[in-house]
Amino acid sequence: MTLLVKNRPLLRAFRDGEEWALRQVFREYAPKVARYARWNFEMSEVDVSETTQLTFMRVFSDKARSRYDGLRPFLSYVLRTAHNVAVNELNRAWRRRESIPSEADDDWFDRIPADAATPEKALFDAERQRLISALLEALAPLEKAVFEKRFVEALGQEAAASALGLSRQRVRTLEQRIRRKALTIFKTSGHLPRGTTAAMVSALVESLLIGGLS
Amino acid sequence: MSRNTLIRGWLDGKLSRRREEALWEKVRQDPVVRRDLEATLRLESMLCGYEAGEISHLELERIEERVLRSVDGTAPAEPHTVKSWVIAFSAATAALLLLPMLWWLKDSRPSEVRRGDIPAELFAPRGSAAPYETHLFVFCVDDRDADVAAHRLDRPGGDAAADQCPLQAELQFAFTNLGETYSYLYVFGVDDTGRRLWYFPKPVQGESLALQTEVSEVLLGDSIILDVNHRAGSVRVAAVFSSEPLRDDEIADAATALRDPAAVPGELLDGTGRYVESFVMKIIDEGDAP
Repeated sequence: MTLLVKNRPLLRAFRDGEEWALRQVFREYAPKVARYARWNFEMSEVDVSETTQLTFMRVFSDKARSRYDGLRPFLSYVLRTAHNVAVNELNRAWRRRESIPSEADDDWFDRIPADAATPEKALFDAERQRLISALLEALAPLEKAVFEKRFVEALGQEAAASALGLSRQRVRTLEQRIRRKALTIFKTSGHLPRGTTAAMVSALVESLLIGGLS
Repeated sequence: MSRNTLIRGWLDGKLSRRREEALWEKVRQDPVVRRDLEATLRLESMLCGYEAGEISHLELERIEERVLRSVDGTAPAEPHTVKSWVIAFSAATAALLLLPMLWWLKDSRPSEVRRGDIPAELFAPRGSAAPYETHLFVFCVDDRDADVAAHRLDRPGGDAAADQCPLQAELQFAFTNLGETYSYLYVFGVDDTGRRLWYFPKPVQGESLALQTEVSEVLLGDSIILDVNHRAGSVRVAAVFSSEPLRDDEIADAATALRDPAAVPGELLDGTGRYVESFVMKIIDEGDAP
């Protein structure tokens, strides 16, 4: 939570816009921004993605970096920026909780509740399991290994490549194939007819989320 | 570039900065693109084991790259705020009052087409053995595949059989101007519905673009993403090289007259110290099929 406050070399590098520092800060705070956006505004994935992008573009701008004093809790600062982005820039009709992170309260984020178990969630999990089982059956051994490293273990491309003894480009290519196969399975497994479009996939995913698909 | 290609490119981390901006602009403006991207992100999140509504670590990786690229003082365009909408609306209203049928074709993104993308042989004269003294080249540049494909659209003869270019591709202009006579250039188009298309100069500039002399095969401006402001159909393009700058009002009458397919640009725009070229290009919509 206090990454930049405690780590002065990182703070200096961050202010200087050094890439390694920006990446470290992004990796620490971006998942939190995404979670905050989803929880506070009940955003869709695209809106969460866009809010996260715009928040960090703003926080990483020269002006914002030089203005950050290194004393205030950085998380609160980032979340307040995310709040402003959502309300003032994206300006959509959110169903939102009126929770604006306090500037001084860095524990605020910890009070975001975890997802509760619901029948919808159980159904979603079951459908996910079906999809993943079907996908794993369709994947070649190497693709399966990449799936495990990249999609499940959440390793970066470099780390996955190194763990599997492959080049990063090869991992990237295999990843693309995995996505294509997943989409094909969606289309051919009886969920959707052949020739279906991404829009129909959207409808399927939507129905999974609201528990409408048996 | 089709929406499916853009979305796939985003997922695969293969989009250039400019294409990323194009995708997110489409996401903001087009509910179909938003819905399709939504579905694919959701599918990816599912595969990664995230809860419904969460974005995956793979999406965060893509965001990280996009954000980092924006830090060098070249941040991608952000969505319009309420305030900027007011300004944009006022400006648009003024432009509409001053310039009926205003179609602003140039976007602000840097060109991705490089001189090396266009094979040297494509600059060879067409329909004549004599080298070009002064000429406007128009290339259709299609980068949907890994290899960039370019071909010429400026077939001499104006209204001869049109050369085709997919709506999903881009236009890139280039010119040769070996002499010292012509220091200005005005390029515009009229599509088959009579709509005027602005290429060079920009509408607000009011008069011809100043042109380099004694140069050959120079790219002119940024490439133009066709599906931003063009439609499938034919477009008549006219280029006026001149020794003195032409004002917009001098072009306006010719643009109106060119709605008549029988009108000849060279006759409409002829004048002392001018050299006029025209041709027809046909834009075809290849749809979203990958």
